[in-house]
Amino acid sequence: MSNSPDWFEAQQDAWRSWRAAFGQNSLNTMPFANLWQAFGIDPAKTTGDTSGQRLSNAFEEIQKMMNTGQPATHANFSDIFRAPLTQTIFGLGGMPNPFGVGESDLGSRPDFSAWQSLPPLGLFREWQSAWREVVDAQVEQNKASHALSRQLGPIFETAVKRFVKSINAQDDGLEDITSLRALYDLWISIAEKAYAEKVMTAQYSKAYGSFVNASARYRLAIQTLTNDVAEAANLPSRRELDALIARQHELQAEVQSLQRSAANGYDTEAVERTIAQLSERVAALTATSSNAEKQHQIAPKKRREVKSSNTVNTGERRDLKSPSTAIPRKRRATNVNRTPKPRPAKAEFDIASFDASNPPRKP
Amino acid sequence: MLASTLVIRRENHNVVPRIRLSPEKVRAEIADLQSKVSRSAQSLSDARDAKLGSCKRSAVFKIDGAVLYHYQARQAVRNSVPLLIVYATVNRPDMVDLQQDRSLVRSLLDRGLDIYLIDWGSPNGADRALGLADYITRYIGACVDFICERSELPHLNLLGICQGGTFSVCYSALNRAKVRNLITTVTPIDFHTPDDMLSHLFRHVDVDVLVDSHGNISGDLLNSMFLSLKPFRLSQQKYLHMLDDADDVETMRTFLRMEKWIFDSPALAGEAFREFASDFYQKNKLIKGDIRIGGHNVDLREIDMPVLNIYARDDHLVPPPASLALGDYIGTKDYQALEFPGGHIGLYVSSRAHAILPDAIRDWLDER
Repeated sequence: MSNSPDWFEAQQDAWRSWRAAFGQNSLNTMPFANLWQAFGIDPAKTTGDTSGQRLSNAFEEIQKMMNTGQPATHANFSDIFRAPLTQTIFGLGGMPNPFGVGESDLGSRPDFSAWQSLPPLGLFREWQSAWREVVDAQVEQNKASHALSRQLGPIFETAVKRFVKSINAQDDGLEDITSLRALYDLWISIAEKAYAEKVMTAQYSKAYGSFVNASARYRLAIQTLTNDVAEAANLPSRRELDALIARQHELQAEVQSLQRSAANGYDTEAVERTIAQLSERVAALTATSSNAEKQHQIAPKKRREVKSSNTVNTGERRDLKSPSTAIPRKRRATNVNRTPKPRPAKAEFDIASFDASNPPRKP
Repeated sequence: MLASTLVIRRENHNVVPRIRLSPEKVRAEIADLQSKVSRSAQSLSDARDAKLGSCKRSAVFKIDGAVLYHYQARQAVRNSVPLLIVYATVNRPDMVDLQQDRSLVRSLLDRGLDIYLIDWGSPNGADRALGLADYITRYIGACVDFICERSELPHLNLLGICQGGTFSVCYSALNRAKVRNLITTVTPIDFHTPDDMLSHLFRHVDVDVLVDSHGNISGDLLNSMFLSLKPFRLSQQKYLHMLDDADDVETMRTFLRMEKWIFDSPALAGEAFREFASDFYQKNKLIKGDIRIGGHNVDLREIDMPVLNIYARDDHLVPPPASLALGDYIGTKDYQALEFPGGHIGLYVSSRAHAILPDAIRDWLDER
C-alpha cells in the first residue's frame, strides 16, 4: 500500500470538512472515526506521514487472519471491532469512575483486604465503615466488570473464526465479495449473530446482571457517604429530598383520592349542610363566648389574638382532612360567596368530631 | 465450530461469499468513502435544522408533567369516536409524527380520524416517586375522562404503542366501559418468551438497587441497554450506511430526525421503572393476573371490547410471540392479530408499513 497523494489528499480533505462544519473537537465524536483508526488513519492528524504504513500493516493483519483463521492481534483492527461492545455494554454501569480507577488497575492495586478485614474503632468508626463500603463496592464492580469482559472475549473469537470460514467457503452457488463494504457487512452480520447467541446464555445473563448490580451498589455506597457528609454539615441531602418527595407524592395521592370520592360518590350538598349546621353551632358558641368576654371586659387586642389563632386553625383543619378539603373546588368557591359566618373560637370548635372519612352518602 | 459453520451456510443459503478484492480496488473504495465523509459534512451541516413533527396540534389538557394534545383535523372527521394514542414512557412520542411523509398521525388524520396523543413529558428528580398507578390510573384516566367529556361520548378508541400498549391494556382491563376499541402495536404482553433478548438480559438485574442508586433511570442508561441488543449494527454500521446518501440533504434530515428521536430520551420515573421492570419484565405478572394498579387487580379477561393487535415481524425489542400472547389471555371474542414487515420502529417510519398500517387501522375501526 503506497502513500499515494490522492489518498492522503482525500483523507485530509475529509477531516478539514468535518472540522470546518462541526468544530475542532468534532473528530472525537465522529461516529465512524474509530473505523478509520482501524485502517491506520488518525483523525487527529492532517498529515499522512505514517498512515500509509499503518494501513499496510492493518491489511497484512487481515490477510494473516484470513489465512490462519486466528483472531487479529493488530491493536487497531481488533479495537475497532470490539469498540461497539465496550461502548454500549459498559455504558450500562451508568457512571463514570469518579476515582479514576480503571479495569486495568485492578491487578496493580495494593491489596487492601487485610486492612479491610480489621473492624474500625473509636469515634470515627462509622465514617471509616462507610469509606470501606465504598472501597469494597468499587472492588466488586471491578471484579464484575472483568467477569463480563471475559464473557465478551469469546464472542469476538467465535465471530472471527466464523468470518474466516465464511469467506473461505468454496461453493459454486455463493456470491463473491467484491468490495470492502460487502466484507464489512458480512462481518457485522456474523459478529452480531455470535454476540446474540452468547447474550442468550445463562452465564452471560448472570455476568451482565452482576456487573449492573455491582455498579449500582458502588454508586449507592458513594451516595450514602455523600449523604452522611451533607447531613453532618447541615446541608440538604439526597436522602432528605427523597423522603420529602415520597411524602409529597403520598399526600398528593390522598388529596386526589378524596377529591375523586367527593366528586363521584359523596353527597356534597349533605356535607355542606353539615358544615352549615356546625358553623351555626360554632357561631352560637362564639356569641356565648363573646358575651362572656364582655362581661369580663377583655381588651380588643386580646380578641385579635383569638382571631389570629383561628386563622392558624384553618390551616390545621386542612391538614386534618377537613370537610372543606373533601369538597370539590367549585363548591368551595360557592361557599366563599355566601354570607360569611362568624369564625369559631379555637377551644370550642372540635374538628376531630367530624368524620371526614365517612361523610353522608346519597341514598 | 462445524455446527456453527453449518448454521451460517444454512441461513445464508446461496449467499455465502468469497473475496475478490485487490489492493487497488480497496484503495479506490476507501478514497471514495473518504470523499463521502467529506461531502457528508456539508450535507449534515445543511440538515442540522431538521425539526420533528408535521401536523398542527394544540395542548388541550395537562396533568402534572403530562400533556394531552389534540391534532387539527385535515379532513372531515369520518369516525366520531376519538382515537387516543398512548406512547411509551421510553423515548418521546414524536415517532408517530416524525415528518410529513413518515407520519402515522398525519395518515390517520387524512383518513378522517380524530386524534389525541399523550406526551408524558420529562420526569425530573421530583417525579421519581411516580408509579404505574400514576401513569395508568391518574394520567391516562384523566385524559380519557377529558376527551369523553369534550366529545360527549361515554368512551373512546385507544391505540397503545409498545409500553404504552401495555399501559393501554391495563387501563382497558380496569375501565372497560370507557374503551370502545383497543388497538395495540408492538406491545409486550408475555415478557418471558424464549427469544426476548431484553428480558433475558434483565433477568438477573437487581431492580431495587438500580432504582435506589439512580433515582430516575436516565435516557442514556436505557439507550445503552437498547444499543447493547445490537451493538455492531446500531453503534457502527448504520453510520457507515448513512454515508451512502452523503449528497442528499433531505435523507440526512430524516437521519438526523431519527437520531434525535432515538437519543433525546426522557428519564423514566424511578418507581414506575421499578414496577415495570420487576413486575412485568422479571416476574411476568401481567399474564399471570397478578398485576395490581392503584389497588386494583388487572384481569386481562376483563378486556371484552374489540382488539386489534399489530406486531412487527422482525421486532428485536418486542418479539412477535411476546405480543401475540395477548390473544391467549383476553376475554374478547373480537380479536385480530396483524403482522407487518419490518422492525420495532419500522412499523411507524418505513415506507412499506406506512403504505398499509393507516388503512388497516381505519378499516378495522370503521367496521366497529
